[in-house]
Amino acid sequence: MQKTLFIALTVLLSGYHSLLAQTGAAAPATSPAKNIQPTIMVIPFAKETQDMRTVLENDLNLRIAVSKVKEGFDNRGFNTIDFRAKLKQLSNDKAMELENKSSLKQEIIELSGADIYIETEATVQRSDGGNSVTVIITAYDAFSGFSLANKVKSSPKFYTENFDKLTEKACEGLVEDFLNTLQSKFDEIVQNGRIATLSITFAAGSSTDLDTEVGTPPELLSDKIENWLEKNAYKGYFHTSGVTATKMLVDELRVPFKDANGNNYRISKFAAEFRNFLKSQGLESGRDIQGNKIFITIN
Amino acid sequence: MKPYSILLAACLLFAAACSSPKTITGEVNFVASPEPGTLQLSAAGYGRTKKEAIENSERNAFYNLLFKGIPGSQYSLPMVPNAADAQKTHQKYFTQFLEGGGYKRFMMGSDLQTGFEPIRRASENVKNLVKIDVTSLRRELEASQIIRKLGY
Repeated sequence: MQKTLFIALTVLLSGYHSLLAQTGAAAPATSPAKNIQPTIMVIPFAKETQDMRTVLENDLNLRIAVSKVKEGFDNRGFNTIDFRAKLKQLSNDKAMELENKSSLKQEIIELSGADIYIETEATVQRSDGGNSVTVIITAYDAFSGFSLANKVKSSPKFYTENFDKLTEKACEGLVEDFLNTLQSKFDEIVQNGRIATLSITFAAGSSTDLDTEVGTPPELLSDKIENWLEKNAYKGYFHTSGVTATKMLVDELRVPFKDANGNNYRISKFAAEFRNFLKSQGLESGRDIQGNKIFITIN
Repeated sequence: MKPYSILLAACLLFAAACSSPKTITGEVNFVASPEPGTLQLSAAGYGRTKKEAIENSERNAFYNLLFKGIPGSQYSLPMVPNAADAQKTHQKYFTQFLEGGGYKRFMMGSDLQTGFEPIRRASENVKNLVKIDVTSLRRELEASQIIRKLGY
């Protein structure tokens, strides 16, 4: 009798376990959201007067260097935006939307494309002691302009005109070194928060400016804003590059990666919280967001 | 008499530490990167026996690569950021990796070199040319969540 009862219990329990496994009920209810990764585009270096696409198409060494950088990202399992494909897509979209209404702002948002740009340059050096190629790679945040990683390396000198091989030689180890430096910056960003910028301006005809006293007790609006930022920026970190009566520019504002619930913290959420603060001071405002850039216009 | 005893004890402890196979030194130098994703390092090792000294040199190479970085190479930054925190958080992993020989899975070669002038004295001291598969090592560290994948 006891044996039968034992077998029955075992069968029941194993059935329950397999049911749990199938339904996933045994798994934790929620897992933290995956960090949103930055979008990265590798672009060729071009002087101000030059067209990037033409520069890339006319320079084989530059194309090799750009491909080597992209290959480095691929090897680390990170997808990059292809510059040429993006250009092509943008021109196709433009043709499709020719009839649609489009603002300059919209165009800028579309053209930006990436959060981080990797600028790549390959220069041929000729000398009596042999020829070499120097490759320069620079990564910068597209919105704040912060430099994230810089590396330069020259190939050894050889008596050769085979510059594509020299470019490959210059890229050896360089890309890995560059990615390691970039990763150390990413680690720092994860620890200290994402970098955003905040620009506060006033609509034409607005009766308020940053020198207007608001709230109780009355304080200058600029002081109120700075106090709010002190409390709400991640780890209280923000840097104001300038304040006038009509404009305040916060060129470095740290925002968290995750909110209290473990979800990814969106820049738009910060903008919404800031607008709520302005509302609490009796001010109406509008906002525009471009990547990590927040533009607030107070009416 | 007492100061001499203390001095003697200190000397004995120092000698024991020098000859311990667990000794970590900074005598690790970049030699070459023969193929993409590999690193050849020359590392010193100390021990009571030759075998111990060789293993110590290999451990030294991996320790420096992981926690200190190798100057002059593409890994001038440590592979594991915040070494002290990481060693505390993943103590079990690193004990198995460094003391338990886990590093050997990523070692492509270990060749003894001659003409070594050690800066320390031990029963046995060696200079070893260690070749490491850094790409696989990094992937393993990423999979074990010791380091983060490229990105945020």
